[in-house]
Amino acid sequence: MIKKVLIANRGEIALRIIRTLKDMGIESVAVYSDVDRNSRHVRIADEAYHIGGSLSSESYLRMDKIIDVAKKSGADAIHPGYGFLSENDLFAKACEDEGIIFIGPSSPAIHAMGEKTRARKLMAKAGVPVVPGTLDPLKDSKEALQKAEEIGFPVMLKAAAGGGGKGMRLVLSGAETEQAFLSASSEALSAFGDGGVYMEKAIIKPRHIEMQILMDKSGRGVWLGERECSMQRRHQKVVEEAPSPFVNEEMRRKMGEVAVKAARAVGYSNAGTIEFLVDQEKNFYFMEMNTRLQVEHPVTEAVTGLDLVWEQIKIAEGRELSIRQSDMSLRGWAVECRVYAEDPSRNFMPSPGTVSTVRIPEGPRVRVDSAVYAGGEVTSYYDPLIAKVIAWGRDRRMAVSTMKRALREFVILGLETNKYFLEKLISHQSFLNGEYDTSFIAEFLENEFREPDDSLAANIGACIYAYETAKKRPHDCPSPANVKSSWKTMMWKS
Amino acid sequence: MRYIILKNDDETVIELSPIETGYDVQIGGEKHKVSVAKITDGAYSLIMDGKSFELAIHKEQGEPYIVHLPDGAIRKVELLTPIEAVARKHKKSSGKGSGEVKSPMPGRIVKVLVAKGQNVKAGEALVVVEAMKMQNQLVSPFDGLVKETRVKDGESVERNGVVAVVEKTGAADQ
Repeated sequence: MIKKVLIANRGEIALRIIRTLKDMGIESVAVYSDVDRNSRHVRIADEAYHIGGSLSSESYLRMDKIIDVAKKSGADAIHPGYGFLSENDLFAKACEDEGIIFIGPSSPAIHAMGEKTRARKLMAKAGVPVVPGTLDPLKDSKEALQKAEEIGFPVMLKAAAGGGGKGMRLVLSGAETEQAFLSASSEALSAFGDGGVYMEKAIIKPRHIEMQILMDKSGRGVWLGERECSMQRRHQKVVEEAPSPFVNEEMRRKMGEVAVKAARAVGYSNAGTIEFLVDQEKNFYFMEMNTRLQVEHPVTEAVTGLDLVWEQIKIAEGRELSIRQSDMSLRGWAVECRVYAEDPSRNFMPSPGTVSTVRIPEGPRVRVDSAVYAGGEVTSYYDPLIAKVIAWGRDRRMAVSTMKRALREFVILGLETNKYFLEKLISHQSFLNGEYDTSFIAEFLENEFREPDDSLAANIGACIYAYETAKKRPHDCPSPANVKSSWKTMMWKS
Repeated sequence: MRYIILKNDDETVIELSPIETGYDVQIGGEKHKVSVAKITDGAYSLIMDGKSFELAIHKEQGEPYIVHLPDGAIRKVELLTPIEAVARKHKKSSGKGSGEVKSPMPGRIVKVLVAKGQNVKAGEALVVVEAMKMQNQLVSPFDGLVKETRVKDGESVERNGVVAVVEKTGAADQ
């Protein structure tokens, strides 16, 4: 029985895990960096320990310090959340060596799936469909060009060690190959410490659909249905839903069975996700496995009624799965929107800052996972994700309209967010029809997204606020004229 | 009290007159009776011609008013007092592009791509800044000559910190 869990993470996911621990009557141990002393995960946990500087390399990536805290506090297990050390097989190994339960798969399973080319090879061998391409990292740009010509343009370069769109390039022609290979490789090197890049045939306008599975330690597995994750910008997910409007009963079953087979091939246990690329003919190909809890897991929780963290802990304790495949049924529809501290009108430039006002949406069918608070800072040290808003409905239409209402109700002031952009995105006819693929956001941003029109109520509100604030501080001089400073007109690219 | 709303260089005058339940508002020849309830600092409820608006408002020194509306959108309102409007007109004629390239957010300098004395094109990347796990390029505002670089690889940069100064090509001749 697990009695005390250390959460090797921060932000909304740390908070989310601690909440389930409390529901289960398990004690929680938070860790924090310099800048996170005031963070909510620190305040809500039963115990909290400082582990170092604000840079994640000095704190949330420090295996030695985290394991020290686990031993010192008497935690019998560590939950890694997502990001940071969650897919680091050496960390899982270090936990295993110290007799601490790692709430996730075993280190060999993480290792097997961790490097994309290795995983591709394993999956191809296990009979799981993979996208045609190279099975090994490319040696140099010359080999890249040669392979690209064999496979046929367009091709996709991908970081062998990576994820999250880092070190990824679409290559349309031979002339672009060398430059694309070099930049993908250098980006991969700086992001993952490994410049290895492999190549796949590019599937044009693919959908990105993933399958959630649970595997216990005896190798029993269930699939819990898919998540549609095609709403992406620069390979980062923005809106997810479960189920996918593109997947029918038969396809779901096939994907589920393939996913469990893929996991079994590496001796996987705990919660995991198999990501598939899906072409317009509904062919699906193994892309990668995320050997951890996903950011977007709440949509699966909403349609299955399961608490995935709860299930993770029971599996980590060595218990048998409590659900059978035949018991599984999906109920209704769920959508998640990721609210980021970024400015859509300036090419999604990150916008760190201090949150002055927050009003979290409430009411029927709405869940918000967030660590934001008024007066809190969204720093440039970590991910710009501020909140995940999840809406459920009996059908897709109900879920989407509830989401729209929730986003409108959500107030975050003090920094730029993509909230208005999200609301326009899910209000778009193509989204409402369920007809979208991974190219949608770029086209929407280019051709259709506009900033909101002038508003009389906003103008009057601002005047009233100005008047009442000045009235309160009668001795204040008028502020200098609001001439726009020069940096605002500057261009940012990425 | 009179305010001037600035939008794309157009000025609109708003006149507020306090009444018992809120304000009489005159804007662009129209009159509105607005019932106002202040809920907390920066949170207002407005009822205008029967319509209800819950507003959240935030203001930072030197920045526009940020107003969140029930439609979920944020409007940025640039508001001037009559004195500020006059000051702005004086300032306007003397404004020139300084060529200072600033980082719009705090972050870490990944790489300085140019050196002093180098010619650069408009839109050419000068410095790569990393913030929130993302790399962004700071680019030259115009064709010109790099007069100086003020940061080094690996250094931190503050919000609005100058990373480089570019002199517009031909500016010296004028």
